[in-house]
Amino acid sequence: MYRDTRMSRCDVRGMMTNQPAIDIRGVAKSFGPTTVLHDINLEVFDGEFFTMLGPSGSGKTTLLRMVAGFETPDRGEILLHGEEVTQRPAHLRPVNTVFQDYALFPHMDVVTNVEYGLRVAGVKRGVRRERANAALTMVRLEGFSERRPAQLSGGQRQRVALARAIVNEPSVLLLDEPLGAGAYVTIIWRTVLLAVLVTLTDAIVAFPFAYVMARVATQRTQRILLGAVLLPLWASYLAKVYAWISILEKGGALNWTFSKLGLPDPNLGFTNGAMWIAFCYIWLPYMIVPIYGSLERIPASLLDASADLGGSSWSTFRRVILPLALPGLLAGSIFTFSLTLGDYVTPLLIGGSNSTLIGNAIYENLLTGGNLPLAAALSTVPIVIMIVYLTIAKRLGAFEAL
Amino acid sequence: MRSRLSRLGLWLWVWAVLFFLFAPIVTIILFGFDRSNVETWPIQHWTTHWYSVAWNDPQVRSAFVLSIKAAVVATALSLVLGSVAAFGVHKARFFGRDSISLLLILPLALPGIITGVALNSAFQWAGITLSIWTIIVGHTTFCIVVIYNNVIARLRRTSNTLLEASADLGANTVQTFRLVTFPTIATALVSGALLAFALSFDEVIVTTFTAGAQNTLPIWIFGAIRLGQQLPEVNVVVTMVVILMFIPILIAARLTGTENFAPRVAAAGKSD
Repeated sequence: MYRDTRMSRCDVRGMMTNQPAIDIRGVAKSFGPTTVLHDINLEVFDGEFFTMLGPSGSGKTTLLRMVAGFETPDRGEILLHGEEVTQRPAHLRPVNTVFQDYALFPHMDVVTNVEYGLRVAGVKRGVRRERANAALTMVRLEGFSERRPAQLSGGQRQRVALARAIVNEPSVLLLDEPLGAGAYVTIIWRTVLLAVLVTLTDAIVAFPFAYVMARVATQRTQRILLGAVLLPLWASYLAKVYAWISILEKGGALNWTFSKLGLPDPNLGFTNGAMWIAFCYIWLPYMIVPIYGSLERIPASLLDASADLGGSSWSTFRRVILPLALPGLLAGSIFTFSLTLGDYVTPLLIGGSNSTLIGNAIYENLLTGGNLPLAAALSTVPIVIMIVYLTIAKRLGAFEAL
Repeated sequence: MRSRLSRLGLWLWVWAVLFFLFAPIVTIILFGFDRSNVETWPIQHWTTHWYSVAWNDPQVRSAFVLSIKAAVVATALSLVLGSVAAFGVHKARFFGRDSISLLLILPLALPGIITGVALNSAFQWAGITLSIWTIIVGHTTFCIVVIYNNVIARLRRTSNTLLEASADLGANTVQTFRLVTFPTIATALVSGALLAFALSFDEVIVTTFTAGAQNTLPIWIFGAIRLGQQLPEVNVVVTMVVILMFIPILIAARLTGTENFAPRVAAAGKSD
């Protein structure tokens, strides 16, 4: 996001008019005795993506509402492309807003919502349908036109609101905290799902490796393999995340390998897939080590006994080895699960626009949003999940394998 | 025949996992020598230029110094607190002993962000300004666990009769501690301290919540990656951090031996 802003600033400024798209000059606003904004000066140019951050109650929404025309400043003026619009009503400004609660009309279906702006501007039915459908395609919601807002998920509603704003081709697009209420439920589900997925993947990848380490390799090889797991475990966390950014991004080794093999570019950089791979990688040693520990403790005589009693190697594995390795597997899963659950660095660095996890929500509310109560409330989610998880794990004997 | 085939499959799997574990680390080290500003695979031209850039960068230097300071003090504090806790839980039989040992292990199973949020709120509530000291307190919370785990494991393996023999031979409590107990746990303390140091040196999650305006090295790296700035330098710094962390880890492994050490290490590594 930062990269985009800087690039467009250089590209656009030189070529186009020097007039800012939004020019806020000395704006002040009070509600009764409380001064919300005093002397705000801000210029945003064409092609820029400008983000305002601040604690809740710091006046971000008020400023947006003044640009959109829902509030009038007490002092100062607002110019859009050089035109003074301070007193102009909202419907006469070339500005469209994606509202915090999306503000979709509940009694209209998706496409009627999207074409609303064109309809009130008097655009003919056929034309506006076409443009509304194009906007819906842009936000990847083709096929959803007949649905009512209530039948959509939080993320889908957000995209409808975005389509409804851009279909009018406004010269300024305002987005008021697109991560509104309701999005948190999606975030919690996404986080838990990812934690489960990472845990399962790591368990599957780790088990055969740990098995070879514990029961197949010679003592010398066993030592080497253990070292080979412990070194990456202790390699710097950020180094590991950064390595995967380098590998997965456009010019990275993965795309290069695929193109050498004549396959299409996977382009995994900055997606949920990238996040999944990075997490599986970072936590894999934490899964291997406890599984190895529990496999190594199984006395060889037990396996001999099972064979002696006629168990094939498969049934020995299924009926003896796997149950005895279960505590180690669970101990490892405590790490992979809990670590994924609370991470915000990996999603922030390698994830895409849809990669917000609980950790990010906590981080944003605490450090950039200043919403301490919400951050604390969100923090209880991973705590509760982990308490349930630990209780189950303890009952199954995972603590002895730690 | 079937077992030979499955054995082959298992070894192939092992090689694939090893590749998966090491390819990224090798990639990052190689990119440190890439002459280009923009990373593209494969690397076309080689240089050591970025090493001198990173070495002469005052921001990197001050971040490095702060990281070392914080890690040293946090390690020292947790050496005292962690070993005292281990002795207490190991020796005394008192009400709530089991809960305390669970409480000491708990930071391992809770996500680091929780520790961070809790500390941040506590500091705000108490009106403490964030500084190097709040970073140290944050790091100490998880470093204690490493020391505690290492020491208590050693104490559990030390036979009680050793101490009884010392008393039997006429040594008082202080003498027994100095001549018997301390030497038996000394290597556990050293290896615990090295692991704690490495953990603290690499920590980013708790630190973001407990650092004010100061940058530790991981915070600097985090910021640079996030903003997409100075990426060639990041490659170099990150390579140096990996190497710097391997040194204490290898010494620690030497001291305690990898066998009993590995699962504990995993537990300890949890806090990052």
